[in-house]
Amino acid sequence: MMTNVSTTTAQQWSPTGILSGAAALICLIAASIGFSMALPNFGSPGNAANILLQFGPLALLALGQMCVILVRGFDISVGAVLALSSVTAALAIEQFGIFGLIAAPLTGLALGILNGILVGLLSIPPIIATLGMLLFARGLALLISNNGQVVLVTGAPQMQLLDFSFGQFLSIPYSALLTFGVFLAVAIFLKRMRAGRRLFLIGGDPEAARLVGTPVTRGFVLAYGLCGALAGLAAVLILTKTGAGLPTDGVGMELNAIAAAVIGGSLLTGGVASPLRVLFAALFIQVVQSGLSFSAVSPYAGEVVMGLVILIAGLLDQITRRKLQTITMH
Amino acid sequence: MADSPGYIGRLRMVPKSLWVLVVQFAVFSLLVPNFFAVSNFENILRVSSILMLASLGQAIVIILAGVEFSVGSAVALCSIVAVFAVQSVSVPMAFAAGFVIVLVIGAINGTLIAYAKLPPFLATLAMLMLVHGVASLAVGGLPIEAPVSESFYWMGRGKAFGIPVPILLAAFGLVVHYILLSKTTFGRQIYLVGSNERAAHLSGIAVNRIKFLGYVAAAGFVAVSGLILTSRVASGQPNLIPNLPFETISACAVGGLSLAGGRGSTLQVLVGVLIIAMLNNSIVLLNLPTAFQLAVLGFVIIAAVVFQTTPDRFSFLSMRAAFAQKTKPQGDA
Repeated sequence: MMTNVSTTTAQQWSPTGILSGAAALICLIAASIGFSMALPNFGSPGNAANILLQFGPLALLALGQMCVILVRGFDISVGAVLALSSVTAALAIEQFGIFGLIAAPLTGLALGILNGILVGLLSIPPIIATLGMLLFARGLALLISNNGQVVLVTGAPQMQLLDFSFGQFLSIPYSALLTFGVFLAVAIFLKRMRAGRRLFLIGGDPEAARLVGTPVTRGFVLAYGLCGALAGLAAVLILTKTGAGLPTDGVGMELNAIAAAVIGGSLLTGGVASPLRVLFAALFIQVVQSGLSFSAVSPYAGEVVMGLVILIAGLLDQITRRKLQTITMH
Repeated sequence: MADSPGYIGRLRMVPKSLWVLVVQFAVFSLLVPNFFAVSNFENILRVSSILMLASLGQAIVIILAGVEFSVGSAVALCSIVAVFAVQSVSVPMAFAAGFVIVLVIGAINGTLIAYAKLPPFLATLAMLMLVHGVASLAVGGLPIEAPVSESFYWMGRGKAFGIPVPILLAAFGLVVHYILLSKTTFGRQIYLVGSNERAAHLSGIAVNRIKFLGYVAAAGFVAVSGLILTSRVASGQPNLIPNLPFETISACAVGGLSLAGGRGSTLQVLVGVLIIAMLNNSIVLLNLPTAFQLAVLGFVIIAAVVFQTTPDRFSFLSMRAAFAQKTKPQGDA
């Protein structure tokens, strides 16, 4: 057991890990400087606050994705879960006032746990389990929202949501503070708590983890449950921004989230997770999107940039790994 | 695979998913009004031909222990290239251009995965975004219409020998796929590379070349499916069919292909596609809202896969362990 723990720890601190981690930060800095130099108003504090206001949902989805990639899975249902959570929360707020907002993370958590059971207990490949959940959650979101109509939050709760959305502390939007707080909490959970550390063990080698008596199934349920709950939290941010449950929202967001997690250094072979790098990656994607919309270049160029960044990050990782191999072999 | 299976052995070799299909067919015939009719069968086959051909391509990649996420974007770019081209060249030439662009995307995927050694998931995800971005940039995000022409519509809406052309193409695709995988050296090598890359390498197979060619061959099937769809909708659209990668993967999984690679047959792909197509068709016949269609389809995909994997419950985890073993950097002490 000790050897396993130490290998996963070593993996995190391997040169390749540091490189792919730095990739996200380098991309973020390069994009920020590049756009600030090219565009006169891009570097203003107002725009920085604007980027912080918008990056929350993607960052939270990416953080959840990082947790499931840590245990060698991925979750393509997060966009649909986000949509369903926002609708259930909007409906709950109509019934119970602003405290109905808690329905969003609870919905996400429930669906995430279901994903975890499908993957961990029934051994269904993650892509099939979460694809089934994607279709199911999207269908349910359409069903309970009168065939895809926006569920508006009205009256006093609407004002409370908007107050949160416009609220600032030291000119940092509340939503960004919430996002940073969640990242910190997940980081502490993964690095400092036993259940979190176990996820690294499971991701590093599930069979070995099972042999040494780690509750592997529980680990899967935990990782997917966390991912679902974070999708629910992302729905909360969207609700505060728009004041409505959006049953058709979040299409394609799962891909951006996976991309952010990958740029943030997550390896699809499992066992690696760094919340800080994922935070940088999510910020980078938001900076690129914001910059492209500022510069009146088509927003679709953003997708090309993201695709290229993933490819380059992957290739760099591959090259360094081969270099390392030749070094160790000689 | 046994050399001379007995009667029971033969029965066991029938994919489990085929029983699902048979039961589903019987139940739908009895319960769904208008389901059991030749015109409806023709309709199911015609509609499913696009998913069929794309899934045949996806199956090759899955047997190679890979996955292909960029099929939806490739089909979208195919439609845009074909519609752009038809404004200056003849219809066959335009379709040839659409066909070639998908092959090029397949070749890029193959290069990234076989030679640059990127994980298939990563490479095709990046290509999904890249190609979708390029397709959207080319048309500014909006669909472009093809000029009205009978020959442009023929592939998606026409008939030959009294049979709709898409059905003929799908049938042709099935035959080619079967021969390719079961009767050619290349096909058998695909299985070996997919099930054990190291053993394939040690037995003298050019693993990288097989992988590369596998992705190109897969793109060939996807290209035909893209052309049928382009002809049917008669327009080039960046968001033509974004869920195609997920639909094809689920069709393969429902048919019983192992996502761990190395196993699977043309018959299983056919069965998987038909299960999904019959389900969608019945939901339309029963006049249920689309929301139901999504929710039910999600449930069925999971149920079908659970049904087929229950006996060896933890096979998936041991597969992952094997995968980790396989992808561990060699020369590592």
